[in-house]
Amino acid sequence: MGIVRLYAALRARADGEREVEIVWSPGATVGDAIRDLIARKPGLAGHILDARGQVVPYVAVFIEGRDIRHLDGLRTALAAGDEIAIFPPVAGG
Amino acid sequence: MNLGGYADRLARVDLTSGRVAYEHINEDDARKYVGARGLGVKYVFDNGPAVDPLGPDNLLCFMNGPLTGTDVTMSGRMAIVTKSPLTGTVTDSHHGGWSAARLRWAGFDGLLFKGRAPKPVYAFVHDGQVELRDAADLWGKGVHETVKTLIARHGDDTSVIAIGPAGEQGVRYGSFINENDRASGRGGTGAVAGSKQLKAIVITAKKAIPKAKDKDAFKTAHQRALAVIMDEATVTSPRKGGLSVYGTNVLMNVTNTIGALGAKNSQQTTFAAAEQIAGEKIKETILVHDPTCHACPVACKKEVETHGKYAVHMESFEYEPAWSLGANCGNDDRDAIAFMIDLCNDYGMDAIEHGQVLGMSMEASEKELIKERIDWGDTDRMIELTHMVGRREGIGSTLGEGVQRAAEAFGDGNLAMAVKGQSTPAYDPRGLKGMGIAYATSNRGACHLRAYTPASELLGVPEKTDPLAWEGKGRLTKLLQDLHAVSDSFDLCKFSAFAEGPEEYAAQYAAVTGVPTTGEDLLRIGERIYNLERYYNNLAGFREGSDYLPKRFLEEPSTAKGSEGHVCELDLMLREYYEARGWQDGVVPESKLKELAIV
Repeated sequence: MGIVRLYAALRARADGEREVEIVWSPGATVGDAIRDLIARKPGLAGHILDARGQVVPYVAVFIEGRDIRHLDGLRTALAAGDEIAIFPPVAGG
Repeated sequence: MNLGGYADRLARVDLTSGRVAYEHINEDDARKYVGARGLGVKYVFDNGPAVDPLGPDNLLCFMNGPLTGTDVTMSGRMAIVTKSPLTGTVTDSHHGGWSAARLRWAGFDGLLFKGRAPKPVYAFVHDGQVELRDAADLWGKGVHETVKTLIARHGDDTSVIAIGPAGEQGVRYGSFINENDRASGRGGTGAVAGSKQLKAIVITAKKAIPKAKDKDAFKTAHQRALAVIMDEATVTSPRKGGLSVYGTNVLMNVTNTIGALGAKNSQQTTFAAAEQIAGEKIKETILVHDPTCHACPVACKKEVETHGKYAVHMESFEYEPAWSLGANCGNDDRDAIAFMIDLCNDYGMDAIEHGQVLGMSMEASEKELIKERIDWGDTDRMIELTHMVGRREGIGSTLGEGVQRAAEAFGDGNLAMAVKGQSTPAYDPRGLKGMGIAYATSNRGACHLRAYTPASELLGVPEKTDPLAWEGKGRLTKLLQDLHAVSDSFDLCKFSAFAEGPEEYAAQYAAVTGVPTTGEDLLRIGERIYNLERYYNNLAGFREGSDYLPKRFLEEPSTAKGSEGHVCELDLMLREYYEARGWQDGVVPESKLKELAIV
């Protein structure tokens, strides 16, 4: 089990929720958790994963503060209590 | 001059005598340095690196580029270029709004001020003319009252770029503020104006969009650039992208998530209450409007209104000051932050430097280096000190020297998170390594806008790099420094670079000016501008060893999730960077100057 935190416009697509608690089993991946999240919050469909099941360009998914693009992507294994954070494209200055 | 886009007119104003001379733009200079930042740096270079920044011989330039005020998307930026009293380097600071476009529509590419007026004046710019007017009634007044008075005096179609009491009093981070809320914040340009008794630039002009040299090519180039900015997948997408919906402060939560949000004078790399001052929370609570600049569909400005003790209505609740006056000072009161940003704008001083000055003072107080009690997050005390700096009263006189000098006066210069005398901005280089090399090698002192590496490290533009990896960041920083030097010389908003690349820039520049140009050509021009700035700094005394970071970033590991255990590997990145630049320990060799046709 762990927390998925949502930011910026993703919150409105998740019924206004900032975080969603997801239960995952030993051996689960971040991809599994995101698919579970989307099943519970269908408004997120197409905004985190594309039609091929890959992360939408410029969307950032972090596990414990590390971008999964620098880990094993959607195959990154989850540990109990991990915190997932998902951002739509963000930049500024 | 045969190039399109330019007004081909400069005003040189001698404030001592009151004389104004007009001249054409040298075409060779325009081809080599473009305009705005690049051409302004050339003029400051030609004025000599040895001038006292607060003396009459310093040159203060208000510069447009060839794309300013055109239909090119995001072309509403103006560069103020001078020698900085904060850093002793050449500096350029940019603002948005409409003053840049109006300067072009009034018939100018730039205004160059030198000397010192015998009494306070403002420059009234209209119809290809510059007139100096008496500003005795405005001296001592805040920016907001100055703007209100001058708009009432000069009517519609007018922009006012003004300094406040901070610049008049010689606060080294005194800034120019355009149209009440658009800050040319960094480097102390307002203090330079104060030393010259120049209160404001007032520009009155009706809309008169310059025509491109090649109209058909411009139409194609413009549509292509606009399409990438409007693309719903990008951060710039109007009313959909994160930058448009939440403004720059959309960054607060992500930098906090990865352990790159400095807190309490960067003693920590995460702020537990970041959510309370982040763009998402601002939108939920105090946001009232989304203003924009000339020719910009993104509208990243965020106008807020607060009530009660810290009641204010203003439009610059940006990520940088929200961090410096918020997380950096252990302060999660968003109303107080809005109030203080507005106070900084009214006094005319850089809110980034000011927040760093306050954060450093809080740590000095905690460590009992000073007798004054300044507690973390004490908003009333922060406001009191803001007034004292703006008026240079009591300890405010020391703080107004900027964070580096103030920390040294307190007995420990290492408490200053600064490079070359200018404070670091809102990205901790232990969690975003590229920012470390970018801060260290910035030609205007610590700066996130010389090379915005988070575009790569967070967003993935032009390519995704790991924020915790140092390899490649020297080369990335050089590329972005050169690219931004060119966009600052057009003068286009840097946020265009989240969607556009060198090829989009080149197509628009070529169509407007009529100069056939590739993206590679532009990067070469950017490299030339960056090297000219560095050569100026070398001549001003910044030699070997001048590119450094505060010890805290090098020796105190991050304890935050995402970056835990990391310091910034500056030496390794510097080696890579100097190799990419062809410099010798930060010094431009003669061969490089010749290669780039600088000498």
